[in-house]
This record gives sequence, C-alpha cells and structure tokens, in this order.
Amino acid sequence: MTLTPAVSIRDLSYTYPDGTFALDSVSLELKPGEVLGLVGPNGAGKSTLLLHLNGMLRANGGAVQVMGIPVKPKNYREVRRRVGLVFQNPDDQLFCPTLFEDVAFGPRNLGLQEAEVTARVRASLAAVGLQGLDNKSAHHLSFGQKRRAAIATVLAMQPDVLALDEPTSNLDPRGKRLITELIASFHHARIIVTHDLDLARTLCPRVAVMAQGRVIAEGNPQELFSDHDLLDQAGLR
Amino acid sequence: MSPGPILFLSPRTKILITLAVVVVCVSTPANRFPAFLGYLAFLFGFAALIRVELRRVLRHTLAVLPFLLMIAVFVPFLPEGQPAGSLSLGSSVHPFPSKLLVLWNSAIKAWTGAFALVILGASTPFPELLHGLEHLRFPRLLLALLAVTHRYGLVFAEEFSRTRRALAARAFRPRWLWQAGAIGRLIGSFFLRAYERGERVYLAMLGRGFTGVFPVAPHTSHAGDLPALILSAIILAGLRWGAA
Ligand SMILES: Nc1ncnc2c1ncn2[C@@H]1O[C@H](COP(=O)(O)OP(=O)(O)OP(=O)(O)O)[C@@H](O)[C@H]1O
Ligand SMILES: [Mg+2]
Repeated sequence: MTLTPAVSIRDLSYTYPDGTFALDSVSLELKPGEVLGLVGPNGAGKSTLLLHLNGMLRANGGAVQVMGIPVKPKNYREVRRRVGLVFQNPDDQLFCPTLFEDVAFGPRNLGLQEAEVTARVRASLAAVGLQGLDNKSAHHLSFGQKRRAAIATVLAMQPDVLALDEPTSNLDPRGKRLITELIASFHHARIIVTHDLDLARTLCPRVAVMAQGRVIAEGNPQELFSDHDLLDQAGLR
Repeated sequence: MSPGPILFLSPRTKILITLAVVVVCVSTPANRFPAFLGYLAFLFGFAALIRVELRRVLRHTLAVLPFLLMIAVFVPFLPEGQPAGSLSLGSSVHPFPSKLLVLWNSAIKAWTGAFALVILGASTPFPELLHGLEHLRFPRLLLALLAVTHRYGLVFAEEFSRTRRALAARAFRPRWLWQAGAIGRLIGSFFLRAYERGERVYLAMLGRGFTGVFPVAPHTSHAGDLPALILSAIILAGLRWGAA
C-alpha cells in the first residue's frame, strides 16, 4: 500500500475567463511533509496553480486531490481547512481590525469554541514569533511582521498543506532569513512559489520549473540550477 | 505611566452612556443652565473614572469651534423670536435675548456632544467600538463594512498618494480642463485596483472557511457595567427632569 499523497495534481488545465491560457496539463505530486519548490518566470502560472489547490479557481480540465479528497465544490469546506494558502501580498490576507481577529477568523468559521479559538490564535502567533501583538492593527506592523501574521492566519486552521506564494519577496536579508527558518521549522507538506533560488536551494529537496503554464523540469535544485539552458528558458538568470 | 482605569466598562456600556448623554443634552431646553453644567460635570467624572486623558479630550473637542463660529455669523440674521435650532426652546421665558440663546443652545449642545464622543473614542479602540456596536445589535453587514473600511482606508490612501506622486514625477500638473481626462483615468484605475483588492481579500476570506456569515467574537462584560448604566441613567434623568 502506498501512502496517500498530500497533494496530487493530474493534467490540470485552466483558461482565465478573458481567454488567457494559464495552465497547460500540469501534473505534480507532493508527499506528506515534503517540501516542493515551484519556480518560473513572471506569468508562468504559479499563482494560478496555487489557487486550484483549495478550489478558488475551478479547473477546466484535469483533477486535484488534497489528502485523497477531490477538490470539488462539495468538498471545498474540507479542502480549505486542509490547505493553508498564503498570498503574495499580506495586506490581502489581513483584513480584520486587529491581529487577534485576523488569526481567529478561520477557527471561528470552523465553528470552534472560543477557548479553542483563543488557544489556536496564541499558538499560531507564537509559532511565527508575534506573541503579544494580539491587539495590533495590521496597518501598524512592519512588512516582515505582516508576512508572518499572514502565515499565522492559515496556521490557525491547522492545515495539512501550506502553499506559500513568494514568501520572501520584498523582505530585507534578515527578514528573508527569518521566514526561511520559519518555513523550515514546519512539518506540513509545503509548496513554495519563489524566484529566490537561494530559498529554493535551502528549503526544497525537489523543485519544479514552470514556464508558460507547463512544468518543464522537475528534480533536485543542485542539478536543475546548474543547467544554464534551463535557467535561461525559465527566465531565472 | 498612566494607571489603568478605576472603573472597567465594556465598550457596549460606554456606547450606551455616551448615547444617553447626547440624547438627554440635545433634548434639554436651552435655558436650563444648571442642567448643562450638570452634564459637563457628569462627563468630567466619567472621563476621570475610566481614566481618559482630559487634556487630549479637551483639545479634540476644539474641533467643533469652526462649526460654532459659523453659527455665530448667522445668528444676527435669524428672524427675531424664532425657536431656531432647538427641539424644545418653544415658549419658555427667555432670561436673555433669544439670538444669544440660539447661539448658546447650539454651542453648548455641540460641545457637550463632541466632548462625550471624544471621551468614548479616546477610551475605546476602534475594534472594541465595533464589537460593542455588534453587541448592541447593530447590523452585522454594516459593521463588517466599517471594519473593512477602517482597515483598508489607510492602505488606499497610501496607494492614492503613490499614484499622485507617479503622475507628478512625469511632470503632470492638473491645471487645465483638458487634463480632466487624465484625472478621470486616475480615478478609474484607482477604483479598478480597489475592486481587485476586494476580490483578493474575498478569496482570502474563502480560504479560511468564510461562508458568508461573519463570525462573532464572544462578548465580555465587567462587574461595573450594570451599576454604571443604572447610576448614569439616574443622574442624567435627575439633571434633565429634576427640579430646575
Ligand atoms: N485574474 C486574471 N485574469 C486573467 N488573466 C490572468 C489573471 N491572473 C493571472 N492571469 C494571467 O495568467 C497567467 C499566469 O499568471 P500567474 O499570476 O499565475 O503567474 P505567476 O507565475 O504567479 O507570475 P508571477 O511570478 O508574476 O507572480 C499570466 O499570463 C497572467 O497574465
Ligand atoms: Mg504569482
């Protein structure tokens, strides 16, 4: 018997309503606890792919499963609890008046008791190093803090899979290091979209390279990143 | 360091007391001078009990001054003896000229109201105010709207000033009528961006299990809430309707 993959993507295709052909039969698999890097030039379709993991976009073709559950409208609730999607811009993810409310938003939607909600909020904020900032407004956080707060909001859902869209963009070197260490400390299955080859090297034993809506290469970063033709094709150098 | 409040009140109680002061004050005939003195004394006491910094509050209430000046300018033009500006100035016998009374009426009511609201604002952070309103059965959708506006208002303001800088950097000076088109496009692109952000925020909400109903935080109350409400009601009613 083989272990159920945390994420399994089969021949996924997607065209935006305006006709943009964004994903062209993408297939990827992610084992529980595994870390997969997703690199590729702007417009390759990386963010579009992430939005399919919890049914925010509906595939035109192919199928996605999360922990063996097909991503279909009737499973959206379950799937969204299991996949924690961290957006590229933390300001989109922190929409409540205070940090506490933001992190509590997900657990409250799950209908948890308030004691459990509070416990999860405390634990999530502590996990990202923002303990004690419960009553801060997102507006008064530094960018690095907002990034970590956005991660805390999905940790509180206790997901099986974390999908992070460019987690180190717009951060200073120290902020990058902190986020890298933070992501490394998790035990979830993780998909990390990034342009940062250093980040991919440190965190991801396996990397998929996307270009023009397709996965054009897959393998360990050491090998892939020394293939200069590939890097050129993927616009990564 | 400022010490904590002497009296802990939940946001709901503070909102109710503030509202009570405003309603009672506005409905008081202008010539019942001791009552107004009483309201002010009440507010001072209230502010002291919940430990609001008075200097700051007084400074903020000065915001109503321009409004008062405007009224002052118009007072001489009001027709003689009209019960203008008051709900119950009515037929009461005026101890001093009615024009002055009109001015006094709007001045004291505006100022007392502002004073009460500023105390509320200074003692209660915006998120708690929203929470208090929620507790008072204020429509949830409106509250969510207020909360989101509060959260993104500043973000949008920053975006807007960035866009303006970008225009200025290209030596754009909106001076002539034919440049109105550019301003129109600016506003258009601004709304488009706000709309797109709205969509992304909505996705973020969906991703965390949002089903169309905003989750409620539980409400806490303090031991002082009920006594404070009852006492305030008695004092205010006494000032308003008690022997003049
Ligand atoms: N809402 C949308 N409507 C129409 N087309 C879109 C939309 N969002 C993205 N696209 C298009 O889909 C393609 C893939 O975009 P996507 O955002 O997934 O790329 P990406 O790999 O995440 O790029 P980046 O590195 O710049 O974030 C692009 O051609 C883009 O223009
Ligand atoms: Mg992207």
